[in-house]
Amino acid sequence: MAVEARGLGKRFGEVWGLREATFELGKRSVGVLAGPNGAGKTTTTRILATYYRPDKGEAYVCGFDVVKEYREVRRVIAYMPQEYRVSLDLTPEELIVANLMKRGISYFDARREARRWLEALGMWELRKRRLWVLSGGERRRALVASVLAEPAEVYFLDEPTTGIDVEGRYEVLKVVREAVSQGATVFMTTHNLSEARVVADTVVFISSGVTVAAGNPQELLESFPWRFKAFVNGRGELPGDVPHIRLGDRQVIYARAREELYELLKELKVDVHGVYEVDLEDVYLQVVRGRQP
Amino acid sequence: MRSLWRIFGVAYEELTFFRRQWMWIVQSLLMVGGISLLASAWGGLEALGHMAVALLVTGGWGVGLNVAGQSIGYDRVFGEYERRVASPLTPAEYILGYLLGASIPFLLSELPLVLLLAVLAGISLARLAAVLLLSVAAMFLGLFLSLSVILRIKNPMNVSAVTNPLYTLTTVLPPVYYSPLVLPEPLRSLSAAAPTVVLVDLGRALVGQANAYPLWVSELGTAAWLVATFMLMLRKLEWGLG
Repeated sequence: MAVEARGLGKRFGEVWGLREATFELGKRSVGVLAGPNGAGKTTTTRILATYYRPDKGEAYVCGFDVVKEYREVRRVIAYMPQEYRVSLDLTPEELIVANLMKRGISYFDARREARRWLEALGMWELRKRRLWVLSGGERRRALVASVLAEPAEVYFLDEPTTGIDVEGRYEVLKVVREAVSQGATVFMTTHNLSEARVVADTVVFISSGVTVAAGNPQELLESFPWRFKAFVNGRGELPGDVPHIRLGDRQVIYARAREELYELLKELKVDVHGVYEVDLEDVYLQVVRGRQP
Repeated sequence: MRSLWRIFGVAYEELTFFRRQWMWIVQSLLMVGGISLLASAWGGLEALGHMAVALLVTGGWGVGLNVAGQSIGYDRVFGEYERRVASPLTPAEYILGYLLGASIPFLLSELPLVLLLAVLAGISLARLAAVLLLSVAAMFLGLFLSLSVILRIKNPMNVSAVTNPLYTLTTVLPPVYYSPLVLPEPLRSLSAAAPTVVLVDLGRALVGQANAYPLWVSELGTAAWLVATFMLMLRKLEWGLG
């Protein structure tokens, strides 16, 4: 296993910021920790990155105890904290070179490695431009690249795609998958479940400091009792046996099959806004928010 | 060797930043030149000699207290500090890297000008080399003091709002650019409590200028400040597992 957490907990004064985090992440894969704000995502990541000492439970990275063997853990990990920023006066090349040197790599080897990474990510042409000239997506991609270029086995990225547009997010996800294809393990946190579905091999849901579900995205989807959903307009009362969620003047109706859903919609005579397959957000709402349709 | 590259890595990033923000270095050089002109205009070569010693010591002090201290302070705000904890970099390498990266653009760029002033004032270069070592001690002491304060700030955004006044308070107000001998008692004795005052007074003694305090007072004062600020800094310098 690349990452193992068993009953992890962290207390801040009288408040438990993390109460019970238990999950596993295999090597050469992407694990996504998803949950609402304040659920304990950053605290979990900080414990795994040896920044916080847990108050209960235990965690291992590549088999090393994050407390007792923290030096070994620090040798095999690289970490990008939440809202991580650098001087925008640096160029992508300088950023990567500096970070590789900080790991003990010589300037000359760092330059060679930076070139390899920048070429692999299609950023070689941008290597000499200062970060403040780059778009938000390019900048974030350079930051993530500077972490993933570090010689490590497990990479922790805390909300690497926050605040950037769809294109920028996909640029970052491309970098992440590129790293995994080269043998790395990436553990990241996000609010965005559509990107979790795109990039993750394992998704862990966390709510109020407790991990409530874990599995690969397909398994999680299959654990959800419905396959299709329709958004319908109107506030009208639906029969009690129709699985649905109210969203103000719109409602979400669920069914096991597409035909079953169309039959139901015809029967209910509702104004249909759209019909879709269920996704991780539906699973999330069920397991994290307890919103059972 | 890996340890050395890690130190160079921190220094490289700091140097790259100041290479782009070169106007700060120009500002620092203008200050050295301007203060020297001011001193020599009012006090001739003797004042220039005193100024050369004071500038060399405060140069190191400023690199530690203001430049490196601020960089580390802002690293805590931007997440770089947290990132570096989760890596093989040690706190000593991290601090040495910042001191190296800050001293090259500031201290070393000022050095030729200070050397010229010293030569003009008739100070031997061998004696000035001893003051340069004192400047390195001032750099560490400045950083320890800076981090003792910065690491205790609740709102980390206020880093420069703390270090800039601290630098002014410790260099402009007390007898650093002027001799404590001009102060009446008990102000003269009380001034020995300021780390910069005893450091510069020690520098004056090293080059054979009139010093205000017995050597043991300056040496003891410097050593006491070094130990006290080092301990205060260590109490708050958590390198992970907090």
